[in-house]
Amino acid sequence: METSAWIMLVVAVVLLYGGLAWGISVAVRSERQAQSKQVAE
Amino acid sequence: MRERWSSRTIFIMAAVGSAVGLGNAWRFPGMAYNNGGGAFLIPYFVALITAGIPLLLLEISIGKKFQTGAPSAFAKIHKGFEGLGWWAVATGFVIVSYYTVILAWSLNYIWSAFTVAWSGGAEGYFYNNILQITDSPGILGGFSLPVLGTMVLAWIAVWWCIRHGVKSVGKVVKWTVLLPVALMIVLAIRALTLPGAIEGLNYYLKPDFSALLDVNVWAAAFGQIFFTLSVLFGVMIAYGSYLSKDSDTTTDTVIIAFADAGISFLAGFAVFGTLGYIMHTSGVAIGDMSIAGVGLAFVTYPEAISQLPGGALVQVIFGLMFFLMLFTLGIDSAFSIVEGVVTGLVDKFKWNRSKTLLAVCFAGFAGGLIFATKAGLYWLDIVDYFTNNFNLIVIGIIECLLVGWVYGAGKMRAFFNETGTIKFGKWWDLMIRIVTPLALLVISVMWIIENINTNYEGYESIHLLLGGWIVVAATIVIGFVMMLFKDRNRHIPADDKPIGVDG
Repeated sequence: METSAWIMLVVAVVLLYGGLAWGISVAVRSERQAQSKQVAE
Repeated sequence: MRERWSSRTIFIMAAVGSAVGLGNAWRFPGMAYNNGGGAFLIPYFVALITAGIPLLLLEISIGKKFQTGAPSAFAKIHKGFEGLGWWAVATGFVIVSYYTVILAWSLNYIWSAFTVAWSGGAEGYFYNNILQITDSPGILGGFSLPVLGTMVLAWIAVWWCIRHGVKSVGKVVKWTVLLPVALMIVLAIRALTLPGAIEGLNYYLKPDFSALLDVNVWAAAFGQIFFTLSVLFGVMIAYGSYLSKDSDTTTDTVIIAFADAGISFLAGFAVFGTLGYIMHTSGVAIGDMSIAGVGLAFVTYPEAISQLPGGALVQVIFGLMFFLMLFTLGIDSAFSIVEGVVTGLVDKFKWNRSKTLLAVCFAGFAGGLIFATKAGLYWLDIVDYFTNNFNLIVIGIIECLLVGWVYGAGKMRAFFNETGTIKFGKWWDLMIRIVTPLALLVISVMWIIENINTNYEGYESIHLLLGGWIVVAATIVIGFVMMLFKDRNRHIPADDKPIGVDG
């Protein structure tokens, strides 16, 4: 596979799966915060 | 009390299941190959951020805000736009009537996989044994019994999956989302370990940056994003309507959109790894193969399966895996569309949900009978081409303008930002009011120009008129007619009064 194809592979993986991982991490953190808030109340 | 999703995860999975369908597996990889290879990922990503996520967020938020299906939701924005919701729902109904036929083909192939029945020639098996195809759309030739029989099964499966509304959807999506992704990963790994696979991947990922100067490539990227997210036919509005008022739609939207894009990208590895293997073993160039759509799924891929090394058992296992993946990819998209139709009807007329679902399934089956004839593939192709390219695009333009300018993009943004962890800035307003409708307008103008000059796929004008423009017109008429019926027991909370009427 040509170098340019490898570069696009890395870019796509970072953008697409990075975006997904970011969304999931935000959701997990906000759920945890909501749970700890509920426990405190 | 309105039904609710049993958990946030279940809602996300249901929405991902709806968005991820056959198009992710058979449309995206071929589209990337034809539009600059790896360079296509740049306009695709731009389209995802500037149009896909804003539009998906818009639809889920409309559902959550008004707690009702698309027609009643649009009526609450402006009484005169209820018809837009019905038009969207009617378009979804047309789409699901042929989508289930593709599921029926997949069911046939799951059965055929036990004997690798296509090994004598995949093309002949599909067109002669399964479709029993005639020479023209004008020659219906009666029903193809294998298709008709499995079409009944497909509709039973759709009915079964949503028979108890979002409760049963919640149970089913655990399988229909995770299973196809797991199968796709296995198929991709198998493909990448075949000889010639890396060469195939090179075709998929090697960038041709000059393609970025071509407006058609950008139109293809935006088109793919609009078609892949299950927006514009009332599904996401219906799914959003089962969310509670405190749900975090902004973060959920980001997850759904990126999951959809990620699965599309993954599919490319299974497809192009396999195409590379065919190229390696038979010497056929990738440009000479069917690399997208029906041809890829039911001819090229089966052909590759029958050439897999390791003997008959390996071929049976991978045949089963591939067609089970196709079926499970499609079934949750199909039942989400039916759910959108049922939600629209039940919310307006307060009909019994179970009976409405049964009636919609029967009507969908009856409407789809034309696609189970021996000329079904032609009609499916024509109807799909027109409903996808005309209806969805025009609905999208009106929907964006309605919310962006009539309801107020800022007002909607304030609504979803209130409970959303990821906050969307004013750029979202700009996307919904100008960029997304403009992109849709450009795509529709290009499409109309293309179709004025040439008949799609060389079909006769009469067939394009019948399967294309008359179906388009019928969905518009249905939209207007449904709007004329009065709601039963309609109650509009004070803060949800139609703003175009007296607000």
